[in-house]
Amino acid sequence: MSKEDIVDQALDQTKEELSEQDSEKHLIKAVKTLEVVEGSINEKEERFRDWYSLHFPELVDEIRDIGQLAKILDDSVQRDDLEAFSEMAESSNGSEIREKQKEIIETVLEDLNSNLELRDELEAYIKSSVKDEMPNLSKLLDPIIAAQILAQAGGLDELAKMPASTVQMLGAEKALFRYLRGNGTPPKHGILFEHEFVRPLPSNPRGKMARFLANKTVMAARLDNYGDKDKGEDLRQEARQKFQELKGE
Amino acid sequence: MPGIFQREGLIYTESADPTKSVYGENLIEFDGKEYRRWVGKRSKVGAAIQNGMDIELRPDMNVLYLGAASGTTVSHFSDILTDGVIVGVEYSDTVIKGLVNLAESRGNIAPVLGNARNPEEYEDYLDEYDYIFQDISQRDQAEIFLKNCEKYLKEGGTGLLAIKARSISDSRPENEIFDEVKEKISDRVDIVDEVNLDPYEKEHLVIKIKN
Repeated sequence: MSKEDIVDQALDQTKEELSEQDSEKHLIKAVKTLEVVEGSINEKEERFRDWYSLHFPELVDEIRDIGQLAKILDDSVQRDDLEAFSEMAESSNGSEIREKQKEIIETVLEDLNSNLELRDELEAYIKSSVKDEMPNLSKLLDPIIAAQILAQAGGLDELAKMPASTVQMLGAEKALFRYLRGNGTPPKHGILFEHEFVRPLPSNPRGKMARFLANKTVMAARLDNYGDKDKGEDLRQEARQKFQELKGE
Repeated sequence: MPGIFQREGLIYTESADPTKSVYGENLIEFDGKEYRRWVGKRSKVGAAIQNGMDIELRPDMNVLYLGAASGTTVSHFSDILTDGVIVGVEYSDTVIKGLVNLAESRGNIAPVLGNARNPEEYEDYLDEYDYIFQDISQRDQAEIFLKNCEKYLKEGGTGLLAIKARSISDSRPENEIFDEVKEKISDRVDIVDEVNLDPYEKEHLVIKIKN
């Protein structure tokens, strides 16, 4: 190989490897941002509900989903303008609001709305890039959970090298180390708790399910990192079977 | 030493990419040519030369550089090696970005993202090298160096190893650590020279070997 060829080949290859790793980094950053945005939505939702209860407490109690509430109040926050809830508005216990107050409440709602949009866009981005880059993992777990596991592990390469017992504990570090220091009981699950096959189970079988799912998760991660086979559906089927067994107990 | 210029107690290399300062070093003009100062505090090879070592790097050599980082020392090697090529291996994807930038503006640097513990990772490039330099702060730096010398260093080739005592042990005295490393190395290759990097770096030793 000539000197120029060596330099060119090394440059091309290194840049490619770097950009491959970078796309994973984008995903991890998106997961972390989503975490922050969700936290701020929760706080802002609480504040908004509290504030708006002054004017229309019945609606706030009635509509539990913030996205829905925001949609209803999109045109006007004045309770008399809400045709669908006119009956409720007439008998409302809340006090009247003046124009000035209406405006500021609408501004706050706008901010909340833009946060909700940001959350949806982040979720869409995470879902699509997890499906592209980790087909097996995203089929076995929900794409968002798969992305959270990946972010906690620090990358697909790292995740593929992890023992299943570590994956089972990802996201439960605080409880795990508390236990290792001699306080408390060992955690059964971290991020995996959020999975639809884990959360509905009662405490005891839930630990079994988390252990089982962690094993399958590692397999899926290894398939995604080292292989190109598509076995996500099979793995999910096995997990579902196990879930049904444990549910029947 | 070929390619290295000494002036008023400081050392310089003739810049292969004039007007650019790679890591903040001073540029000077002399005889119509531009020279870049080789700063001992920033580069262990620079420090070794200032402390009197002849690194025996010639312009036509092919060099395997392990632990290239962002390319501070590599840039001076690149100045010297007007006919040779440097294969720079670096493990961290963060710092190698600097090396990639450097490689793009100079024609003789081949940046490789890889682990020097596994010499097979970069066997695509050259089968043997005239010169190997290693600067890796790892506990098993001696073993890594020997592995690479065995696989890649030409018969009669030269190698330079920068040893950081504190990455081998936190508490033992530096001389004890250096002796241990030297013993390991001299089992397999001949140590021809050594120099302590004080005052540029603390508790560092550079040794020169011949295969």
